[in-house]
Formats: sequence, C-alpha cells, structure tokens
Amino acid sequence: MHIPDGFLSLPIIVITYVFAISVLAISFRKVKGNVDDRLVPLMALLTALFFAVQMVNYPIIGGTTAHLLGAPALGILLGPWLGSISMAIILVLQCFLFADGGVTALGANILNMAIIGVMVPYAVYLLVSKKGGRGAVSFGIFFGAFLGDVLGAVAAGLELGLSAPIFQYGVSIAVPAMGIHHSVIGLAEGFVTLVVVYSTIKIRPSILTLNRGLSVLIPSAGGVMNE
Amino acid sequence: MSENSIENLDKSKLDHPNKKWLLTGMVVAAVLVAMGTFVFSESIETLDVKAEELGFEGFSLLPAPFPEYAIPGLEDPLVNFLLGFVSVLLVLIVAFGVYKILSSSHNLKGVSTS
Repeated sequence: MHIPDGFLSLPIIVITYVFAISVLAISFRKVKGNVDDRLVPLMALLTALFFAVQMVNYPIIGGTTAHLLGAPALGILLGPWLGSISMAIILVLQCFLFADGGVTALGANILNMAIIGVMVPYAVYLLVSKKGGRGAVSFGIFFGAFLGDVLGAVAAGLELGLSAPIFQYGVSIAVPAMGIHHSVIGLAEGFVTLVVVYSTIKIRPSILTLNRGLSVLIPSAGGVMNE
Repeated sequence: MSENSIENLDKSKLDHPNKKWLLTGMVVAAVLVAMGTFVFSESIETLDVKAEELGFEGFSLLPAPFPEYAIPGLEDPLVNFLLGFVSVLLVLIVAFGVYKILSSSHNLKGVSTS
C-alpha cells in the first residue's frame, strides 16, 4: 500500500501532508508525559517487530503479493495516539532508508496506514467490545483490523484516483481495485491481529496499563486483578 | 469503577519487560526477516500492477541508501538478511528514543493515552 513518488498530484500531496502532520502533532501532545517509562522497551519492541512483519510478502490473488500492516495491532495494544506514532516511525524509516514509499507520498502513506490503519481498528474495537463478552471483544478486534486495512486502501485509491491525470485511472477504478484487493489482505490482518493482541496480553499483562481501551481484555490476562 | 478496570490491576502481578524478553523478541524478528528475505521476498502489490498497466513506474525523489531492502551491487540473500536485521535493530533504537522522550517517570499511572 506504500505509494511511491510520482503517483500523486500536488494538491493531494499538500492536503495529505497537512492532515498527517496535524494528527501526529495531536498524538504527540496527547501522550507526552503520560507513557510509563517501564513500558518503553515493550513498545519499541512491538514497533520493531511490526517493521519486520512488513518484510514478509505472502502471495494472494491474481499473482500479486501482500504484507501485513501491523497497524491494527499497534492501535489496539498501544492506543490510537501511540499506535499512530509507532506506525509513523516505521513509515518514515521505510521511506528514507529503503525508498519504500515516496517522500512526496509520505503524508498520504501516514494518513492511510498510521492514522486510518491505526485509529479505525481501535474505534471499531472499542465500539463493538462495549457489548461485552469474549465473543464481542474478539469480533471487535478482527473486524476492526479488517476494516482498518480496507479503509486505508480505499483512502489510497481515493488519493490516487483524485490525482488523475497523473495517475490515469480515476476514482471509479482506483478505489475498487485497492479496496477489493485489501479486503482479502484484511482477513489475514484480522486473524493475525487477534492472535497478536491476545498473545501479548497473556505474555506481557503490563501492557494493559497502557490505554484504557484494553480494560475489556483484562480477563484474558488472567490473575492480574487485586484479590 | 467497573470490576475489570485498570485501577483494579494488581501492579505487583504485572510482568515488565526485561532483557530476556527483548532477546526473545529479537529472535522472532530474525525469523520474520529470514522469511521475508529467503522465502517471501518477492513483492508484487496491486498498486504496482495497476501502475504497470498504465505504463509508468513510481520513483524515489530522494536517493535511499538501501532501495528494495538491499545494498546496491551486493544483492545476495544473506547480505539482505543481515541488512534487514540491522534495520530492525535501528527501528528498535529509534522507537526507544522517541518513546523515551514521550515517557514521564517510573510511575505506573494507569494512563490516559486513549
């Protein structure tokens, strides 16, 4: 989903940069001074692991390949603000070190993957898990991750489609192409996000203190409540 | 306050990251990088296919030191694996630095990051 240089028009570049910088600035303000120092290594490790996850390109439909984003898991585990910062770190390093995503498209890539890809899953997870019960929580994680992937791709299709005639396919072709393809990827993302979230909570229950949205997962950690 | 609230967590039962856990994480990262380098390395995304249909390729405005996750002129899978793993370490260090700047103290606050 990384958009390279040369695909986006100037207005789209400017709009996506302004939006991405604004949201990241809000994220930094929200978390500054509120992060438990002892959780810093865990958060850094999760960021590094999801960078590594993105290097694995598995085959999907029509001879194409895909990689997991990791954004939904980061959003649900770290919360929307830290999750977006974590994903932005990955995208910035990918752009400047590996030319994975262009510098002119960095704003769009941050918007699609670090903002939509992180915040949509978190919002869906919060909304659905309010129904209570492990089934609702699990569905919230799975469906949130799926939707985050698909909507991030749809946003990318929209940015490309609105950049016509630079990217000669208009919105009517670019959006369905990206959306349909990523609905397949979204299913894998949903399943992996479920496994990652429950495993992390089980192995490292300290992460439960990171954001209030994780409180519904406290029973999954087991034995961490005051007696 | 609900029964399953963060405030009700027994902080003494929470296990915080240590060196052994970080090491385990790095082993998992090495396995992922190995998979991405030796087995699942080929990347043909929808965006690439659609661009190819239109007859143009994306480019990189700024020259990156390691395009396509490889050292130019040294495109050996083992070198790519080492580069990939060093990159994971770099991400770890950068992320650690950023979170350290954002972190407050050693107080387990139960936090308002959401």
